[in-house]
Amino acid sequence: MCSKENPDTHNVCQFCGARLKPFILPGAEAIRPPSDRSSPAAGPSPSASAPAESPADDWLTRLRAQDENRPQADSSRPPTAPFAQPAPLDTDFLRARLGDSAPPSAPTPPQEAALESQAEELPDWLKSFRQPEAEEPAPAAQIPDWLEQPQEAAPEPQADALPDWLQSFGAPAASAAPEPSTGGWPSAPTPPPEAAALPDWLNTSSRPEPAAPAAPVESAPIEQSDAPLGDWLNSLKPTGAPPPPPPPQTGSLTFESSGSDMDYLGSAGASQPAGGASTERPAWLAALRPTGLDTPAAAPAPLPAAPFVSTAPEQSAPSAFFADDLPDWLQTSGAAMGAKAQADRMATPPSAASAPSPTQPNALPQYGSTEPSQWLAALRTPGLGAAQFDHDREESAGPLTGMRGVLTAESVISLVGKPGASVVRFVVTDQQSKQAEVFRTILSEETTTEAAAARAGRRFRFTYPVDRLLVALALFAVALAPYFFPALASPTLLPPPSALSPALQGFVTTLGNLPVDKPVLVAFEYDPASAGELNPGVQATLTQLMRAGVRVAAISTRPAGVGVAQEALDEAAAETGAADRYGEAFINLGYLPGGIIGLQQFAAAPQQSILFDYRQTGSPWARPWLNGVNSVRDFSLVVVAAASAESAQAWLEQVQPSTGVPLAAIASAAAEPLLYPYYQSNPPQLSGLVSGWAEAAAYDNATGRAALLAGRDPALALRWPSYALGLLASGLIIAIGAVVSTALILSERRPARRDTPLPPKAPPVVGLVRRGPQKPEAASKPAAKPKKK
Amino acid sequence: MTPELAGSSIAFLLTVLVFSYLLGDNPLYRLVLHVFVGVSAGYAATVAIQSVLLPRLGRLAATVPGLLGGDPVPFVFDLVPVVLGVLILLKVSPTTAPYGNAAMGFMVGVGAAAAVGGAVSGTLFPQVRASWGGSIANAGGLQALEALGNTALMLLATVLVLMYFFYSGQPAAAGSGQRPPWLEPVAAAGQFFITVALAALYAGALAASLALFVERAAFLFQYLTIAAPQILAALGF
Repeated sequence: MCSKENPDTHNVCQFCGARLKPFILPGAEAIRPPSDRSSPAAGPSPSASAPAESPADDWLTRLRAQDENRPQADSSRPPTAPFAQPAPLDTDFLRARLGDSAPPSAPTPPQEAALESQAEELPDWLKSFRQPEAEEPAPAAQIPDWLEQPQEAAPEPQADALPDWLQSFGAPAASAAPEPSTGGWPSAPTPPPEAAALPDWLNTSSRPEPAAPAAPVESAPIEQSDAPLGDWLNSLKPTGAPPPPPPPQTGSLTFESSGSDMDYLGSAGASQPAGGASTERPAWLAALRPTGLDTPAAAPAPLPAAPFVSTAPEQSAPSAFFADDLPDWLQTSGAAMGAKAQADRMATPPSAASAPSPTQPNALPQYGSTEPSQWLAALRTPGLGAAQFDHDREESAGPLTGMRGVLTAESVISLVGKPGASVVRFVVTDQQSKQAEVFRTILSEETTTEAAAARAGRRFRFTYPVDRLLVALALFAVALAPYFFPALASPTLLPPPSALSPALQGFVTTLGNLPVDKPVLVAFEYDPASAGELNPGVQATLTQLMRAGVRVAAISTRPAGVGVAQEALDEAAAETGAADRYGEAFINLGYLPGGIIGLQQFAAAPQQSILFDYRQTGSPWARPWLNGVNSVRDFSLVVVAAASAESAQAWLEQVQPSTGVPLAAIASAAAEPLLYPYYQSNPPQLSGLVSGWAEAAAYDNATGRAALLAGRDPALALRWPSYALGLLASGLIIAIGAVVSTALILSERRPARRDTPLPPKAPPVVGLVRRGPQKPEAASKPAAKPKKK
Repeated sequence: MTPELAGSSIAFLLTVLVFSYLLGDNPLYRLVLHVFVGVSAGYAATVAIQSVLLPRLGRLAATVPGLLGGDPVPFVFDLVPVVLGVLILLKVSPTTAPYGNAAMGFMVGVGAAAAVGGAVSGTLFPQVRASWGGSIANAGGLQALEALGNTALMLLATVLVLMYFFYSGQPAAAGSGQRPPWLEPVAAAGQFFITVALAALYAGALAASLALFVERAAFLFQYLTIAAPQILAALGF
């Protein structure tokens, strides 16, 4: 039901397919409620030509006549405005059916008049529906929302607009007339086919009305309804007050007589004034309530020993009617009557149960069949027979302790079978145990006050590295010892280096065979930081060259090396008496930018790389002795004074291969291991190599300069013994340090070796193991590999 | 006080402050370091401007008359380095830095090519040729035998060291890798040669450092014994 508007000509909703106009058989007009026939939108009523009007339903005929004489206010309403005005008459019969006595909202005066006239002509059983309206108007809120909604949304009482499910309320009401000639409807006791398709709760609302004429049995159910009530419910009845006046002739009486599933309504209605909303439990529900929970004052019956155990023997008789249709636990219920009604409803098809019969209460024993219903038998748990249920068994555990007749709880625990896994212990390897012990020790130390005090004292301990200061002081003392003790500078005690290495010999030979007419290029590839080591060798070389009359050109790829070069040139020139011959005997080309790229360019075109010399005296290539230098190969020798091997390698890689010019190097002792292979190559890439201060002194001594060793300068003369003692002291300190370090390592390893854990057993297994023949140790061992034969 | 004495005094003070590092890191030591860095940078900038920029700008200016006279080639050749230099100078500012990427890329690319080419022609080929026993052919008698022994030792050391850096292996239980069993002694021998090489480098570094230390110690001693009395005398003490 989509509740959408459809044209009047449609019989079926074009949106949801629901039928808009009731399916009325010929002659069914008489059974339509009066309100339906008052609708102008109903179209031509088939009742006009229907021969269904019989003298038996003259009251309906009068209603029709009255309806036809209704003022035109209703019928003259335009059909296009059926939803503009609410029509309380549409749901009036519904309210009456549902016991809602609330007056419709603002009925129009003609409608009220029509209602009053109808009320006068209504039969008694219909008046009984309206009687509570006058006595005790029920609040409108009792109407469910799903019923109020159509009341508001569908104000026009058009029978065609009513859905089928609403018409199902009206049709049985009309069929209350037990006139077989009213149309094609079946006989009154037989429910309409539509009712069979409806849910039970709808069927129950439409079913009792056909039983309305069954007045002879109206008093019997009242007495019978009291029987199934529990004591606790009976106790609610007022005892001291006079019995309440008999309830009005309500339909509840007919409900009781039906003996169907509406019994609980009848019993509820009998226990309270009619028309009031019953808030008490129905009988069938009350029957399921354990008797022990009732109020003791109202129910002095003894408390049952266990639930579901009948304590009222007199109630066991009705239970025999359905003893086989109910489960065993229900059979033992003391409130059997309410359960009986429930069982009847479950065991009996609705069609069969809806047939009212005056003798139905007497026919109840026919249900006492020993064979259960098939549908109920299908629901029974296989294997759960009555023989397995012990009524006398007393529960000994759980919340139901002490109760009898409780269903046996079969859990997994009580099953007999293989025992489950049990925890033996944690399997922990020795290493893990040791680690845990260490961790425990750490935690204990953290909480120990002594440890905290020790840490506090340690915090203020002087942590200066004394060893570093001692080493420095020792070296200072050794280095200055020759100055304080000249005896240590004796050549007999510390003989100066006289033997020349092959590389140094090659250097001496190379410089001794240089032509005078070609200049020598000296590259200063070191900073002032390395001047203390390299300057002696460079000074000896420059002095030898200048003395030999070889012109020297200095260059540097380091900005700081330019100044070092100039200082070395000045000293050598001053020593050789050529201090004023700058530009003639020697020259400083200055800084060569570009790194290795600048070296390549300088090797190919030196005049393009160096535009001015260091002193900015003009282009150095304008000098006569440099005028013919167009490439590096025009120099007779390139001497590279480098503090690092990389600086010398740059010249070896970028200049020497492309020009083939001989190269010699004056390198730091640290670069000697990396530059020596260049000297050993074939042909040698380095013509000679002077490495370190010692070889520089040896070279100086070999050239006859003897500036460093001959004692011409006392300060320089003491440099060698100081250097030699420093080397000895360094070696001694290293040896002592190695011994001490070894001793410390051994002392640390010795206790640690005692605690050395066992070889790790891979993979360690930590977890739960089963109690059984398998040993925990075996679980941690890896699977043994089969030996290969 | 002569300039030499003033210079010696400054050198002495700076040397003492550097040696103060023996007592730990201190602000005086850091002050000297900053002074050295600043002086080195200033000196390098001065040298670059004096020896590189000014001469090249002067040569560019010298080619302007040729440009005006109809010979633009020298000017263009000299202008290219200037333009590239200006583009690299734009790297100073983040906003203009992208303009210097081309010049920087050109410089890096050319430098890498020059380095690779020089290493191949200046180190790799000559050293490989020397390892193949070129010196043996040029020697005779015992020298040839000695050269053969040296060559064999060098070849063996090279192979062993290369085998030491063979890191492939099977995973061990502790999670680390384990070399094949036959490779263990080979790697140990390679490790021995590596240790010898590092020891030689360390010995050279120690000798160089000791030479510098001796030179500074001698300077301090000479200053205290020679220059300091002169200064005190000059100051009236």
